[in-house]
Amino acid sequence: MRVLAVIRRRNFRGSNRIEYGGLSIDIVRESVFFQDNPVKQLSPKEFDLLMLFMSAPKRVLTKGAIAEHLFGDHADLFDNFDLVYAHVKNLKKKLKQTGCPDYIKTVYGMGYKFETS
Amino acid sequence: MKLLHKTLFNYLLFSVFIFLISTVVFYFLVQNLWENDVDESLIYQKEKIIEGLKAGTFEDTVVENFTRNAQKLGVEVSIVPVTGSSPNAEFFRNETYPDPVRNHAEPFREMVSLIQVNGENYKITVRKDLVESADLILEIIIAQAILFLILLIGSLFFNNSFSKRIWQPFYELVVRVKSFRIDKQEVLVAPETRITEFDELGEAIERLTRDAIRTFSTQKEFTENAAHETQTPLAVIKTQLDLLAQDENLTEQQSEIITRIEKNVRILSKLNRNLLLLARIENEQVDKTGQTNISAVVDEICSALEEEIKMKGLTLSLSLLPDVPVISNEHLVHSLVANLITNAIRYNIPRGRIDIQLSNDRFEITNTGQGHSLDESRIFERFYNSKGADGSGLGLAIAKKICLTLGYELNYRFSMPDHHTFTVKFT
Repeated sequence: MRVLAVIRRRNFRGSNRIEYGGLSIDIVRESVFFQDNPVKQLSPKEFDLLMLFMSAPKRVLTKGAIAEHLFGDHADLFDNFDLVYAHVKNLKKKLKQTGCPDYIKTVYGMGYKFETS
Repeated sequence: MKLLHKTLFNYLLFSVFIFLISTVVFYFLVQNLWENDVDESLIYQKEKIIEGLKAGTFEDTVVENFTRNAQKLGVEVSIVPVTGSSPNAEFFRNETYPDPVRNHAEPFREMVSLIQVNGENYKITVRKDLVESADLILEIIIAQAILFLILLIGSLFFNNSFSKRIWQPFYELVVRVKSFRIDKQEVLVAPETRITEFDELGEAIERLTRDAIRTFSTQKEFTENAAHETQTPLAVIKTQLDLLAQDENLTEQQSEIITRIEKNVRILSKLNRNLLLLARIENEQVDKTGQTNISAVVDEICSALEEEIKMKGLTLSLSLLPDVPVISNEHLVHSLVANLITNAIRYNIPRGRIDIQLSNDRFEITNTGQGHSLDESRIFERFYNSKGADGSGLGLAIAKKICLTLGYELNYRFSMPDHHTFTVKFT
């Protein structure tokens, strides 16, 4: 997690926007665009998830790491990562609806990786 | 049966036995004495008669006088001349004769002697009525019985209070041993006595508790250190695994291995955190003076678990009194509530229910689950859980420990057909 935080700090660099592969996040307004089309109805958890992916592109994020990011101290309360899976699935669906290519790749059973192409 | 009662009971049994035997023996002894006494007086009467016969004053009037005098003493006399019988025989016997006045048979002691005086044979019968003597014996026996009873009761009473005083330090010791709790870390102090055996017992127990406390704290320290020292290696394994996962050339099989390792590392860290928490609670290293809003804690955990509950198809019904404050430790309360709620989710059935109620004096959570009661005496033990469950096996042990530390009461009950309820009473 510390690694991710460092990456995030470096990527934000005073800016309120994160951009990657045509996707852009306005951190202050909490809004997401894909090539100027708004990605609608993202839940807070899905927004967090997308932030995590975009701040660490090309990195394999294990389900455990994702759960810790999403649920913080409460991650301990879950016995499995079905919930992570559900959130990722929903996020993917909503991105697809705005015409965004499938950037979120499944890395075997291990986790997910956010990358273009 | 208490020790005092046991000894008293035995003492009483023995006393009653002696009492019965001695009364019977005493009775016969007194009767025998009395008979000897009567016999002596009969012999005396007989000798007087013989004297009279020898003096040749044996005339009817004399006999009459004699008899009258004798009757005043309760003695009846008959003198009959006999022929042909062998003289100088004498025997005593007990007989009953009808009493004309009282109209029933009365016991008599009778002496029959055949004597020869001045060449004449006489049969002299002297008898004495034993009515008075029987009464007397009875009175003596009663007096003796009363005396004995007084003695018995007195000594029982005395013995009882005396024993109580003697055994008092022993009972005091029992009370102290009973209230001894190893996690309190207080050496048991045996009461001062002036009895060697009790002093030895007290000393032995003191030594035993001191050793037990030392062993206990060593073991506790070990648990804590072990849990603490494993944290760093675990963190290292985690980061290294994360690095390894970034490798582009991983095969599917290798990824699976990494996933499995990661999963188990997570279980291990969770276990580790819980063990540390337990050790901290046991060491009483918790501040219990903070103000905690339990309603907010329950609310927070429920919303964190909302999606999980929804995904499992469970129905959650919440009935929370808002802003229930308790003076307590927020972290522990959080851990307690979280453990109970995750437990209710984990062991639920498909399309089951969870009911949570919070009032000013209690937090109650009911979940549907298996159709039989859990083993009430063991569910709060460490690592007691149903086989195949995902939990660490520490959840309820921690919940119980937290309640003990915070002074709450944690109870479990089962009600048909499949409702498992845990209640925390904030007392």
